[in-house]
Amino acid sequence: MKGIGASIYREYINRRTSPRVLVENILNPLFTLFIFGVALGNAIGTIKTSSMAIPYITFFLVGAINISLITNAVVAATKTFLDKYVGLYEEMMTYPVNRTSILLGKLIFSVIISLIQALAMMIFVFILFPGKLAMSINVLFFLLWVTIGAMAWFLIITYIALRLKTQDGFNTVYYLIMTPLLYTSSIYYPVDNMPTIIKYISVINPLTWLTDIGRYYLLNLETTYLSYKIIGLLIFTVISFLLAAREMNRYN
Amino acid sequence: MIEVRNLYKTYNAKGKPVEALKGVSLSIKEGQILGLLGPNGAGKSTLVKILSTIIKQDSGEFEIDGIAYQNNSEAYRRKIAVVLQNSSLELWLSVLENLRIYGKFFGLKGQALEAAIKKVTEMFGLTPFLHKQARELSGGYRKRLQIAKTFMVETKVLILDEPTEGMDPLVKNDLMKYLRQEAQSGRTILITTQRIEEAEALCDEIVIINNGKIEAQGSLMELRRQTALNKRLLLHFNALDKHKLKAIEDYCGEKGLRVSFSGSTLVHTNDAGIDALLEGYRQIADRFEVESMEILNPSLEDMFIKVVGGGGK
Ligand SMILES: Nc1ncnc2c1ncn2[C@@H]1O[C@H](COP(=O)(O)OP(=O)(O)O)[C@@H](O)[C@H]1O
Ligand SMILES: [Mg+2]
Repeated sequence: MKGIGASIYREYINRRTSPRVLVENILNPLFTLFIFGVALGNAIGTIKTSSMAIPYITFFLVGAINISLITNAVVAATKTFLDKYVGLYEEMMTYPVNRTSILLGKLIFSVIISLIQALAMMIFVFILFPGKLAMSINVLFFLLWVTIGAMAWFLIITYIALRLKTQDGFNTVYYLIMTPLLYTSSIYYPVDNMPTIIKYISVINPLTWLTDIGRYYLLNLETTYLSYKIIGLLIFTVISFLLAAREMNRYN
Repeated sequence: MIEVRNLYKTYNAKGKPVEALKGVSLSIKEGQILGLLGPNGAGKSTLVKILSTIIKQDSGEFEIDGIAYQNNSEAYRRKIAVVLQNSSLELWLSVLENLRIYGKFFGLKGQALEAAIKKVTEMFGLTPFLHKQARELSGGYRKRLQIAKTFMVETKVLILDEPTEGMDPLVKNDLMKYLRQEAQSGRTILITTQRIEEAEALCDEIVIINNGKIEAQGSLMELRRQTALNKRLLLHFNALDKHKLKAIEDYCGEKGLRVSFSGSTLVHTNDAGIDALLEGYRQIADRFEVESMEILNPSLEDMFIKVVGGGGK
């Protein structure tokens, strides 16, 4: 599948050449982490569960990583719109490569960037807040979930971007879907302390699944229904892939 | 090399159907340049997009080098390189990066890729701009870059949708020359244009399309033969006054000759061909003294205007 390599190369050159390359990809996530982590951290203090107390900055670390996964996916989707706008998307449809491989190249690049961001954020917390983040073999499992999460968000958001005709439409749909998802998730605070109605909604929120799985592996934070969340996220990822691939290969 | 049979395509524009292609068939032999000539909205880009696998026809078939395009077949797409009508460049990337990315999608790498880039940047005068961003180029140079991309690769078929739009005449001449060279080396080329003189100068075969229908097709010679606008006989008379003119007209009317006057020149037309024209000449020359005569071939322009009903440029 030579299309994958070419597609990764294309994404890389585009991202490298962007004038906001450092801000978009590294500083922004760290900034989010720092502002929310420290500010909310001061207000909230530590997150206490039945068995342990976790400094807020480490609790929020996983949430911030998830936010960066989504931001990354949105950056990629915006590029897809630009491609459509400047006619490149149509031209790419004529290239002698499998169209799914173009999608896979974009996906792989997005996942790599997400992993770099996640590592940068983990190192940031590790260095600036010594002793608050324990490193163990579980970090590798955590990174595996970052990978899967990055895939899921990239694929579903790219699917939406491919479906919609205008960037305006995309922005609207994005905010309509993402805002409730964000605030009914466990990104900022544990769902346990929230109103019952939000608790119920959060059960079916893939963003909560991903965050809870991540905290389980990175912080040893117990979570209910772990295996359901894992299965749910995997199914969500597969469905997103099928949708995005079908859209990429749409021909009519 | 390219076979198109009975293509139909209807767009749905805000609930209103627009029939863009109404049964288009054509065929291009290997190494030939076919010019698809038609006014704005004729359906040229629609045909190009179907052949480029961007949109799907409603019915009809097409194949290139014996391969029909079905289910996104890559084998088909390996045969083509396409210049779409709308610009398609990475505007924020340099000329060099644009060429590299394109080459990589076509499987070029390393030395071969760099050699191909060198070749086309020299051909299209892009060398001084290698490190400039595409958005900094003028419209004409952007077009060159877009065309240059397709000259990097060696697909059997080259499809260009109005490539000369916005190009200055000198570059246009170069492009024509390069296209000829490509065709001579065996590449088959489909090019669309609204400009008759381009089709006339460049193409082995011309297809005139209007309103989604092919109005005429063939070589320039065949086209001239096909059209009802045949050769014209022009006769010049000495001292042609009103009375003489009337007399000639009346005489021709009696003999059933189709004539009209343009100033002091009599124009005689006859669909039946050159012998019929000459017979008409003999009849007129029997009665009136003809100073000089000439036979004119219809220009493609005359024909185009006739075929598209004056709708073209
Ligand atoms: N995406 C589209 N939706 C609706 N109508 C279209 C679309 N694309 C082209 N058309 C219409 O189809 C006809 C043929 O267009 P096109 O193939 O672009 O012609 P040309 O390239 O010869 O100018 C025109 O009437 C045009 O308005
Ligand atoms: Mg067009």
